[in-house]
Amino acid sequence: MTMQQFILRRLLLMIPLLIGISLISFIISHSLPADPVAAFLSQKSMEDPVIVATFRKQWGLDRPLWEQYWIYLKNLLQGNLGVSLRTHRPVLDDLRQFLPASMELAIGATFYSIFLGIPLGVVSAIKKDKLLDHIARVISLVGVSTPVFWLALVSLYIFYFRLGWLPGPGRLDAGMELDVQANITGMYTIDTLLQGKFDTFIIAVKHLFLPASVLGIGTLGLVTRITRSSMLEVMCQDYIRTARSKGLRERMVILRHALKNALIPTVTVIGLSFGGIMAGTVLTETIFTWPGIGRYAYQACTKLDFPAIMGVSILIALIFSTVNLLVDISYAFLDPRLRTGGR
Amino acid sequence: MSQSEQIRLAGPSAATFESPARHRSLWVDAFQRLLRNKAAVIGLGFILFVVLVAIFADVLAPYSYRDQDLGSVYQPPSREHLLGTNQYGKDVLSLLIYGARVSITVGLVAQLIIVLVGVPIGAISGFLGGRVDMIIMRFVDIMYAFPDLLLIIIVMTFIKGALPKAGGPLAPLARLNELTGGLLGVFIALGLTWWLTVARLVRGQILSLKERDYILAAQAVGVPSRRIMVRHLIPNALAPVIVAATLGVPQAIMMEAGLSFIGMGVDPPTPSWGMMIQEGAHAIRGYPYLVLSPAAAIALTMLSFNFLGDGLRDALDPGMKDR
Repeated sequence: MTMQQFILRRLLLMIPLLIGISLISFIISHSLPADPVAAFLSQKSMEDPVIVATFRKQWGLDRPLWEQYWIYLKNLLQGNLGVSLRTHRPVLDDLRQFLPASMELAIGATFYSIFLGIPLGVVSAIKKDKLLDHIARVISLVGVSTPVFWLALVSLYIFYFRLGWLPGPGRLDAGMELDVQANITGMYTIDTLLQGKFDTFIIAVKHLFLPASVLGIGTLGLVTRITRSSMLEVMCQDYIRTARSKGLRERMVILRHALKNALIPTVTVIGLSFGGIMAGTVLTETIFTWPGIGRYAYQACTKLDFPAIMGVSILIALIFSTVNLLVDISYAFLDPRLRTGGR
Repeated sequence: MSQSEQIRLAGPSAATFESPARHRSLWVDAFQRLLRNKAAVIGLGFILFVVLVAIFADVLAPYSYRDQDLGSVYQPPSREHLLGTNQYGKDVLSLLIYGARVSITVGLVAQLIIVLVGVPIGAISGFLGGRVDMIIMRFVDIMYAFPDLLLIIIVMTFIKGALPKAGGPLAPLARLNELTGGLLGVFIALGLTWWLTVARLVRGQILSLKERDYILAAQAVGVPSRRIMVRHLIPNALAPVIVAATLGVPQAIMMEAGLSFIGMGVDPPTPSWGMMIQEGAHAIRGYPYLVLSPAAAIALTMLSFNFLGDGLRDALDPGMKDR
């Protein structure tokens, strides 16, 4: 199977997955005995049967469940995710508005965990049981065992309140949002660069730094640990001994021969933990008042805003499967043996 | 594992090998290996300590978690209040001690529910194979792509909002949830979402174990298939489940803390470490130490379970060591 066929097949497989996700989230949200009408109408309006009936009719809540789902599915295929019960705006518009902020955060967190985690893992594998290894282990243990929301609070307290090194919550300094109005991607760091506003870019990066590092610290711990263990395994292989015995410099052996082969488990972990990072945005965005999809999802869930919940679920499932597809594609670049295999 | 012994003993003497005393040696062996792992022993020790604190909270805690003393709010650590008091004048140490109850209960009970749901589903899927396996696994795949935190928040929203008012068959559930201070909701939410990993794990184990030589050997010497299942398949499939469950406990503890932090966890006044951090967050500028002790408690408990889980993995499967 060629690469194109592989990618095409995987993309096609996403369709039943998305239908499944939409069906499950539909069943979950509609089988709960909780009534969205009660969440949105005041006590007084609830007592008036006409208002309640109109509300139900307006949102299609008076039809049988299967019909509601069928309508939803038909709309979904046309890119219409329905209207949020809470914001009274099309869900798609809401997602479009809130997603870029979260993507910026999640991508920042992933980059941070890659660029810190892989070197840390490599170093601690080479210096096994030496001081550096122990330091790296402590960092990864802290990353895995400290609550993200606590780290967020404390880092905000130390670096913003106490030291003043980094700016406080939000994506930009107060009153600056107007400055980046010309939305290109919605990710401020990229938009400001594209517009050549370097001062604003620096401020956006400073604002991004703290939430992204807090969000990524769990992944950082995992990446460090996995890279270390797979480096240790690879370093015992025969081809490493061969490389050394033909007189290659140790640097070369580690970077070219060992690391490239050790990266496959690391890439897998990064792909899998992207889902965890997206989930982590709920807490991180709340603390850093980051206007992203995590906060939107949280508010939608607590208000039982079904269209919004389903929209977010489908979107996150879509992101999750895309990331896993990218991970699978990247295997082919890391390991040529997988390029021709019958995957 | 006992694979080589088994091959040696296959044949007429296989029946003697099957005696329960010999069979236990896998677990005894594993336990001895575990005791040699320093980090795992320290972890186990700390977990036992927290469990004891949780059980004897009523005796150990100097104050009740319900005692408000508005005359002495935000007291720094002192002789009367070793870790100070919070914004309601509650003794932080006592809250910490009672909070251990919530964390340990959530960690252990949620994992138990997850195992009780996941193991049978995974085992059925692996044993039966075919269409049943396909349907179960596709369902698991789809649920896997579903963001679990959203599902948990939806379930919690329902349990907090609608369950207390629900009548009929749901009324006893509502009562139980009230009695446990909102813990039941956390159990249900975690149980509904986290059994997937265990089910996948068990299915994979059963599938690969079915093909092993020692199962074939056992079949060849005429061991009945029920005995093979009970004696060989399930115990061997169980080891990774024990490891996964142990490593899942800290995740459940962390999830409860996170849920309580956003007000979606246990109901006040039941003290929880996550809720303590949330309450401390309001006063972090003036009294930063209020968020320190609950975070330390969470982190140490998490670390202990992680150490124990890693130790168990090495002890139960020596071949996996150093990975």
